[in-house]
Amino acid sequence: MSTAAVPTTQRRVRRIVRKFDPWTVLKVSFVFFGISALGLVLLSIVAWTIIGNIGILEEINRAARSISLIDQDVSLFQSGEQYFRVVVFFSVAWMILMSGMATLASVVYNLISDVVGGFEFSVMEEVPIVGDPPQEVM
Amino acid sequence: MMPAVRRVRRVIRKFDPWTVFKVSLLFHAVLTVGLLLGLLILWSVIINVGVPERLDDFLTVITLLEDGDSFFNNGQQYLRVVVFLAALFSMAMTLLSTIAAILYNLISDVVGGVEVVMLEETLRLQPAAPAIRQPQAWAPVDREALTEEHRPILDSTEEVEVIEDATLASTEVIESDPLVPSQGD
Repeated sequence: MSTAAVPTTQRRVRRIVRKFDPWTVLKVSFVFFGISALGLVLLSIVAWTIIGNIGILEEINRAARSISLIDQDVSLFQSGEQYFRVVVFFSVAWMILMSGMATLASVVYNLISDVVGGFEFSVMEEVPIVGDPPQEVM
Repeated sequence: MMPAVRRVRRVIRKFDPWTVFKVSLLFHAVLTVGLLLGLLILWSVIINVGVPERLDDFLTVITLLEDGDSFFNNGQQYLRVVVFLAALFSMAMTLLSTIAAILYNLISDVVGGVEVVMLEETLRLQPAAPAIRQPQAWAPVDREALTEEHRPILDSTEEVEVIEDATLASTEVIESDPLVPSQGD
């Protein structure tokens, strides 16, 4: 399929999107938000490490101790493992929720577009020049 | 112009990241400017209502502020901070949407893209109505060149009634029709 070799021209036509296929939306958005969730988890780990290394956590501990919120030898942030598990859980929940929302949105869009007609776009279309160029309508 | 419409399935396989970047840059710039203007108007309304003064009074009462001091006298600096944050927001959103476009392209390579049903306007033409032509010459008809369906018409001895039609008479006669090859060709 050597489409590059075929000379193409552009024309401006209208397109109305009447339907998103919910199954493909689910597939794409699941993978999309899965990668996003992974990125978020990595980002939060990096941010957590930076915050710990700067010493903000120690500062917060000190402040909490000074207002006698915690005992002297206790740290607020010693259960980092558990925090990490919570973050992972929430990002997985977020991923499932968001892809579900996207799928639901596409279903709702399909119903709405049945009533009011869908989005109308003007698109530039690339069409191969084969034979006669498109003729004007009389 | 009467465009024909057909219903087709299309799979969106790719967003061009460069065009996404261009469009979202402008979009978020405009959005940010609008938000800033809205914030300015809101701020001036709040100041005119006198909310900051009363807040200052309250803060003075609970001795968080000294008497005669104000929390809101450096509005210029607040504005600068807000403008900086807004510019940051606009850039971050532009970058995010471009990254989303690239990510979509990669994902659609793996799982296939989003499938949509579209109504398409086509420029594929219905055959145009035959132009009204004057006979150029009463040349003898070449019977062999005619198709089977035309021969009976030529052979018929039926009397043809000539109708005087006002709409036909007022129709402009097209001398040369570029769509139909002339008889000389």
